[in-house]
Amino acid sequence: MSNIAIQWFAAALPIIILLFLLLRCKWGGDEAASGGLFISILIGYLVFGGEMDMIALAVAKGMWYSIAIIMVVFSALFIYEVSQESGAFVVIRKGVQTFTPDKVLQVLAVGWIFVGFLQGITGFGVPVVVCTPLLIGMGVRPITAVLITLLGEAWGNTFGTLGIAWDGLVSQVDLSDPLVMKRTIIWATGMLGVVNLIAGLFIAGLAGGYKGVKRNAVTVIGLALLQGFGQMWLALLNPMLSNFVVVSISLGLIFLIGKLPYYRQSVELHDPVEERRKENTCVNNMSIGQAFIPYVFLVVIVVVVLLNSTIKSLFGQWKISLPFAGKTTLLGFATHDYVAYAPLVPLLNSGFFLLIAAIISYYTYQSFGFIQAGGLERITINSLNKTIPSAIAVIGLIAMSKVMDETGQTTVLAQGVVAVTGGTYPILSPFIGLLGTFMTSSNLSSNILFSGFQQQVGMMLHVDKAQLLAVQTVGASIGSIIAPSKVLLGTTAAGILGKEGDVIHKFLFGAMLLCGIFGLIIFVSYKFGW
Amino acid sequence: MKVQQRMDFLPIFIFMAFPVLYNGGQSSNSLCSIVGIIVLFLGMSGPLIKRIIGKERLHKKTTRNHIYLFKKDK
Repeated sequence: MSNIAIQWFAAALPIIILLFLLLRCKWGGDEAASGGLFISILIGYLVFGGEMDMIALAVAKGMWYSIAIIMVVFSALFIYEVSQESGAFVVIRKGVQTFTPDKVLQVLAVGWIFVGFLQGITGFGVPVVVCTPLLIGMGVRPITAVLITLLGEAWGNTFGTLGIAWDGLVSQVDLSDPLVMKRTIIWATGMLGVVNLIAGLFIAGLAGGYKGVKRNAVTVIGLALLQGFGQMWLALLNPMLSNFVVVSISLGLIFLIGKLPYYRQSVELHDPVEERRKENTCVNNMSIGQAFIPYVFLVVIVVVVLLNSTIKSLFGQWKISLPFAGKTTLLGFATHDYVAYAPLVPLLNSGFFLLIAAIISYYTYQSFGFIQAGGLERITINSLNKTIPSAIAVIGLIAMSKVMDETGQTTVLAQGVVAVTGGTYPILSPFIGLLGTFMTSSNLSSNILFSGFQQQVGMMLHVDKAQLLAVQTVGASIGSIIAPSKVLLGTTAAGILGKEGDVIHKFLFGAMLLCGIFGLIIFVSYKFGW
Repeated sequence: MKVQQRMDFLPIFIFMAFPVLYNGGQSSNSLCSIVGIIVLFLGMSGPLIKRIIGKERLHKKTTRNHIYLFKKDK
């Protein structure tokens, strides 16, 4: 075997080990990430000739970059815990159940629009955990409820959570050319719009069967077009807010749609569960408006800070950064010398907005008497307990991707894939994104792991990198439907632990087919030079 | 239970690893870099150790049940 082939297989090993640990050994992301990082360090040192100081700096860069993401994870969980502690989620569920007698529209409102709304703000599996029990409470079968929430949150993975996965992609590649940035956004949002439309129709079908699709087709298509084109237009102006704004508008619209005479007649579910779960009906006297307080505060804070250039520049003044020295491996792969590497702007971080909204909401709920004694302690402990495993996974995966990138493993991997697939690579490109999310259960982690790789392949094959980067993040979004850890969240919330295989099996073919179609579109576009 | 509770404090080592890794890398000090990597892995090892302990417990419990059933059969 030639040296190049050995290097290629060695470079692929960290990803293979990560996959093996996740899929075969059924390890969690927090456990498998350590294994992947360890192998990448070993390969970087033994095969690619990276000195320990170079590897240490790569790991430190990964850790540095993780801080911004961990801030968002913690704050997203904190806002969720505040809503949970105050009983706001029970009120939201009851509000949704009473706004229309059409149960299929109720399912669309919760499983598609409200899931999308939660994905727009929080992400990290929160929509799946929150909405699966809500759907079961409405009479949906547990496994169907898991399928619906996974479908509903998929399209919002890239620009949801205030655009964190998009930021992850941008941080790994060179999108300084405004035209390339614009093309990437248009391709990505266009394909995500298609994913959303398909998801909406599927959810209508799962809830109401063929009749459900037929009856709600106009509503679903109308809302999907609004969300798709709305996100495209807004992402060109502000990627961070694009998803959040359209899902907030959609949430308001679905309530108005429910008031239409067309939706005032009672419609039952296609395959309802006979016995409903016993649920806690002990609700405080919170109104539906009060239940949405955390999200209203979030909207206000984000809009005020980001759309006001004076406040934005004031908040943006406080930056924290570190210098990083350039290093070279024995094989000649070199890294840049940075005076200020990836500056952290804490006051403009999505996590800061989420945390402020959560804190204000907490004190508001407390003043109304919705928070019991010891609530803050419970909220903080629960948020911290849930953040730690995610933080370990994020640090391990980002450090692994940095070690692979800086010691030349990603470059060699990309060169090998290009040599084998040649001009047909664009067909495969969405599957790389899907693989990343399948491995890590995170669109963000997939983008961090593979965006640099896609960019390098694009440069080698002279394929428009905008298309490859767009299809990377779209493939990653689709991958979230079948990501084991996310599926596990759903089955846990639905009380059907152990049925993960059934859920993945139901969507595996569809997810692969959709990726194949997008890959073909990119391939045709590459061949015809669109 | 005590061992599991101790595991919860391991992530603190992740915080400690960063300055060691950074200084090791910036000052081209291989020893410091290796120490940083070891400390980081120590910090990240909590979930894995919990899994191993959990498996051992399950194994012990299963073995105890088998012995009990075996004695009962006799």
